[in-house]
Amino acid sequence: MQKYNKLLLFILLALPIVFVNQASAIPAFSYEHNTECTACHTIYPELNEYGEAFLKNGYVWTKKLRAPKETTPVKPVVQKPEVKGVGDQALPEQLKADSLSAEEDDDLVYAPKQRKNEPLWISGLPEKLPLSLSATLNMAYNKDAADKDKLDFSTRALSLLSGGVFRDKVSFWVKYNLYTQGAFDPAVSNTPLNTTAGSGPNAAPDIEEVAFMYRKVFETPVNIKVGRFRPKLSLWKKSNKTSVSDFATNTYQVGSSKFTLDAPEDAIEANAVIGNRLFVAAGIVDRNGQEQKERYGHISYKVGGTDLLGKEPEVDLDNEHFTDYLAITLAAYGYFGKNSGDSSFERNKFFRFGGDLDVLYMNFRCRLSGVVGKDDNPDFGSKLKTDSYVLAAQAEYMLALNLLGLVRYEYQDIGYSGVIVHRIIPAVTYAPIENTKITMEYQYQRSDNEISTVATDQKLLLGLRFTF
Amino acid sequence: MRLLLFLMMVCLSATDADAKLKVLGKGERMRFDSAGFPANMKPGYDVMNTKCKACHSLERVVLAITSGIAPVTGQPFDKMATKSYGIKMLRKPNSNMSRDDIKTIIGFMNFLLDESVKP
Repeated sequence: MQKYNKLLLFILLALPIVFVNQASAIPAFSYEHNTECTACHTIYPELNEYGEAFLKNGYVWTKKLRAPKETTPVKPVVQKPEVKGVGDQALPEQLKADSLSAEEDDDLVYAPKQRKNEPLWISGLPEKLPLSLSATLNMAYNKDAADKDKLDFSTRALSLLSGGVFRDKVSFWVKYNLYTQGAFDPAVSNTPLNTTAGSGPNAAPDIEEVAFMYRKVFETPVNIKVGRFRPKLSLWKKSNKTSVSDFATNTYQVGSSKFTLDAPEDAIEANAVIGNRLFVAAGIVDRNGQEQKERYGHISYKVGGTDLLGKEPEVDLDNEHFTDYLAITLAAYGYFGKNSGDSSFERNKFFRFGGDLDVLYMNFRCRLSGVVGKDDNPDFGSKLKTDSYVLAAQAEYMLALNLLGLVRYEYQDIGYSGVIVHRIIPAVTYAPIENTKITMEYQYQRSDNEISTVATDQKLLLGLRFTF
Repeated sequence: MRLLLFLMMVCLSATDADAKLKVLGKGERMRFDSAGFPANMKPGYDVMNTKCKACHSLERVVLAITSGIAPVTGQPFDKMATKSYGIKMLRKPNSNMSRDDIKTIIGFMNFLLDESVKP
């Protein structure tokens, strides 16, 4: 009976969130571009096709801007005014008006929004301070919790986010964790942040990401990114999701090594959209205290759908064809690294190769992800060579503009542990308002060794995330 | 008599040609005055008022048509753009817009673009 009471409490706590009906949503990009969250997200923070294009192009809408159409007759630039000796109060306005109505050069790039405030535009300053806050609260119900604490409320995080672009040339992204508590471990707790940062109150009040990207170097498609950021490997950053938990392919670790595919690193990366549908990235990572740099690369290609510059596909509006709604993206990537433990000079040399497939058809989306890896000394001592094979497959369906259901299967075989883990994760995500996301997620996990099942684990997660 | 009929026809056609765009309201209540629209544009106006307004106000449509610049992206808003936005809405999950809706609304926005440049 008591367990039902706790479950009831869990649901009751969720109800006020579900029925909330008013909020003010002004995250940095929405505020800057005066648009709604769903311009770039399915349900925040998962990106849709336009969000992906916006991200890949350094937060710039990529088509070339033109002058607005002229509806007034073209006039010559002003005639020399009569000098009155005491100044002419009306002259500045007249000069502005006449010069604006003069014929534009066809090649002139005109950015109306940027010229609202010319001094700010010249200085490269955004008109609005691009800051927003993101808060995450997670609750977990685990009837088999080792410490008997079945209902866990103790995980939360508050992050400061900033992003934007200076005069379409330098884009930036900052994520600063103001406060985090708890660490994500399916067997212990449920905060999907800072998986490598330890636990306890305010475990990681640090800069998670701060990166600058110089766009279109020498007018080529190449962008140069530098700073602390997540190297471009998988198609999806781990935050690009609606579920509470992350894809295992992005976050799995081997032995004592803290490397994950989605860990922020100090890096420099060159990336480019080539031919509208091909994206390539390559970079080097600098890890403290080691003589060699780490290297990585990514290549992906999109077939159908909106291209990587945000341009719509050609569609014959008189004849329907299933390819009108189909978009397929394929990716491959690799990472070669070497790291060491916190208090050890022993090195672990490792690599990861992975592939992703993203299929979008109307309201349906399927994501497949697979990684193989090898570590030659993952516990920084025994030099036990370890292979790893991790797969994740997720099907999701948008039931309504603010309601999404998904189911994910994960397979994790890390030789070091001698255990193969299977996870089945169904989840429902609801956004009562666009800046607020509520996810109910169930996790079933089974661990097998070579002979039999050694453990099963079930957990119910309730995740709340909002941003403003 | 023939002259009178001819002048009447000229007057009637002049009424159509003078159907310049009038904008009513401000901010999120901004909209086009449909009083001067020809009858064959009525379905387009109705689709815009129901389907487009389900997700956003008509302010951005009015700004795009009258300025020639899409207010969110800063991109040119011309007849190529109207088709592109139509395809975008057709492919958008849960936009609730059929192919016929899309064709109707593209035709209507192109009509508005033509009207907006009339002197």
